[in-house]
Amino acid sequence: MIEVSHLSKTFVKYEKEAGLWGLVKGFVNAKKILSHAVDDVSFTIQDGEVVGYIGANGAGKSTTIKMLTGILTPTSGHVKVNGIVPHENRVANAKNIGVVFGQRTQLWWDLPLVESFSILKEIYEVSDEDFKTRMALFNEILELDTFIKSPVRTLSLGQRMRADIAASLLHNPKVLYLDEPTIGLDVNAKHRMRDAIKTMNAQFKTTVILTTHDLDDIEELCSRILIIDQGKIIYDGSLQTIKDKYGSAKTILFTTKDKMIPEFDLASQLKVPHDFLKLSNHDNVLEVTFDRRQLSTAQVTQAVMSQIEVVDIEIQEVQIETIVGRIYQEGKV
Amino acid sequence: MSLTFRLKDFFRRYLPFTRASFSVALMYRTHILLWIFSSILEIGMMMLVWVAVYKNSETGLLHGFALSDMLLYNILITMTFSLTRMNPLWDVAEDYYDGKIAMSLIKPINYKTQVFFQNLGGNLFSNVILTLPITIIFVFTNVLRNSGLILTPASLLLYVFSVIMGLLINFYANFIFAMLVFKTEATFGLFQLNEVIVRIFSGALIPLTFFPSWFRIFAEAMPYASVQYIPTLILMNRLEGNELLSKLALQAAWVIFLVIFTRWLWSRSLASLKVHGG
Repeated sequence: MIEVSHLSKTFVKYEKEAGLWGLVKGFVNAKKILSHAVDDVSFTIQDGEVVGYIGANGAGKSTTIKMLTGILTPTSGHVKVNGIVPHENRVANAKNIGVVFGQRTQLWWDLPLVESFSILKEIYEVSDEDFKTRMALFNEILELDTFIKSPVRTLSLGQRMRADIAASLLHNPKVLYLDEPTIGLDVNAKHRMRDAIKTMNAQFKTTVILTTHDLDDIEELCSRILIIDQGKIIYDGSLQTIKDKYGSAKTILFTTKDKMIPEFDLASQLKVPHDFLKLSNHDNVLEVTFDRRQLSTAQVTQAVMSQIEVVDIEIQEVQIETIVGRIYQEGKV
Repeated sequence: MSLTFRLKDFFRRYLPFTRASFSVALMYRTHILLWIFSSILEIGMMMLVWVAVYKNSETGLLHGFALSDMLLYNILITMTFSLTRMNPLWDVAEDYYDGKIAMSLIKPINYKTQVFFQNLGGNLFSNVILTLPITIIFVFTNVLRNSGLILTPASLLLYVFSVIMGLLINFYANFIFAMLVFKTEATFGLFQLNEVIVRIFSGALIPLTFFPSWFRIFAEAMPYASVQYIPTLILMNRLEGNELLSKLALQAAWVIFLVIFTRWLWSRSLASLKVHGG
C-alpha cells in the first residue's frame, strides 16, 4: 500500500537576468525563486491497483515519483510505501520497487544486454531458479532473445525499453513505477509494453503507477487516474467518471449534395428546447452537436435527413485527449 | 560464520560493478594506449629533469637523495600512484549532470560503495597494463639489483598494507570533492583544484622533504601525503622505527576520519540533491 499525505517539494532556483551584465549581476547576487513542484498532495493506493498519473509537462509527476522511490527528499509531508519511508530507508525500499524512467536506462550502456541482467541478478539477490523462470517469461512477452547479446548502446529505442521493463521486473517488485514507459515507441512496441505490464499485474498483483502522455496507455491499463496540475492533485477517480462528465457531447457531420444548406428549425421539429442543439455549417457540411443523454443519434439523423439531401454522415465522439486537454487548460475537473 | 556469509553477499553484490567497469575499460583500446604513452612520457620527462638538476649539484646528493634514489623514487611513486588510483569525481559528476544518479539510487545498493567498486575496476585495469609490466621489468632485469632497492618481506607487506589505506584515503578525499559538485555545479573548477592540491601535497612532483620545513610538516599531515608518499617511502626503506609507526597511524587516522566525515556529508548532500531531467 502506498500512502501519501500532504506531500510537498519546493525547489530553490536562481534567476539570472539575460545578457552579459545580467550574468555578472547574477554572479554576485542571484535572485532566489521558490518553485512548488509538488504542492500538498495526498492519495492512497492499494496493493494490485494500476493507477495512471497524468498531467501536463512540468506538472509534478516525475517529482512525485522520485519522492516515492526515495531519490528525492520531500520538503514537507509524509510518504510510506509498504510501511517504509522511502527517503529515510532508501535501500530497504529499493528492494521492493521496480522503476522505469522512459527517458533513461538502468542498463549498462557499453555491456551486452545479458550482462546487465546478470549484474541486476546479483544486486537484487535473485535466486538462479527465479532468474531462469522470469527470464523465460520476459522472453515470451517481450521477445528479448533476438538482441540479448548486443551491447545496450546498439539497441533501438523499442528494444531498449523492452529490456528496461524486464530489468525493472527481474526481482518481482511489489510496486512498479513507470515514468513515461511508452515515450517514443511505435505502435507494436507500445502493445508489447502494455502486455507485459498487464501480465505482471495479473500474475503477481504488482501495484503499478504509470505516468504517461499517451492516453491509450491509460485506457488500456488503468482503473484509476490521478490528474496533477501545477503540483496539485485536481482529480482522483475512475476514467469512466471523467468520460461521463465531459464525454456526453456528440457531434454528427452531414455532408449535403448542394453547396447551400437551407435554413430549418431542427429543435422544434424534434420538440426540444433550442439550447439542446448546436448547429453550424461550413460550405456543404452541417455540424450538429447534442447531448447523447437527451437525444439519440437516430432521432437527430432522421430529423436532419427529412429536411435536406444528405450524401455522407460522420459521427464523432469526444476523444479522451480532448477532455484531458480541456482539464489541463482549465486546471480543474 | 555469519560475518563471512555477509561479506560474501557484499562482494557478490558489488563486484559486478568492478567487472563492468573493467570490461568497459578494455573496450576503449585507443584511450588506453594514449594513456600508457602519456604515463611513460611523464616518467621519462621527470627523469630527464632530475638528471639535469643533479648535473648541477656539487655533492651529488639532494636532501639525502642521490640521483639513482631520485629516479627510483619517480618510478615507485608513479607505480604507487597507479596502485592507489581512484577518481570518483568524474563518475559522480557525470552521474549528476545527466541525472543518471537516479538510476543508481533506485537500486538497493549504497551509492558510495558502488562508485568505489566501479573505480576499483579502472584501478585494476591500470595496474594490469602499467604496474604489472614495471614490476616484471624490475624483477627480471638487473634494474632492481642496480637500483639499490632492498625488498624484504616485511617492507613488502607493510607497503601493501599502506597502499590499501592510501587507496581508501584517495577515494574518500576525492569523493568529498565529488559531493561539492552537487552544491556548486562547478565540476571543472573542482577537478582542477583537486588536481593541483594532489600534485603538490602528494609528493608526486617532488619528494616532500624538498619543501621548506614549515610547509613540509603541513603537507605531510595532509591526507594526500598518505596516499602515495608514505607507501613509497616505506618501500624504499626510508621510514624506520617510531617514524614508520607514526606514519601508519596517521594513515589509519585519516581513513577513519574520512569514512565518518564522508558518511555525514553524503547523507546531507542526498537530502538536498536535485535530479536533473525527466
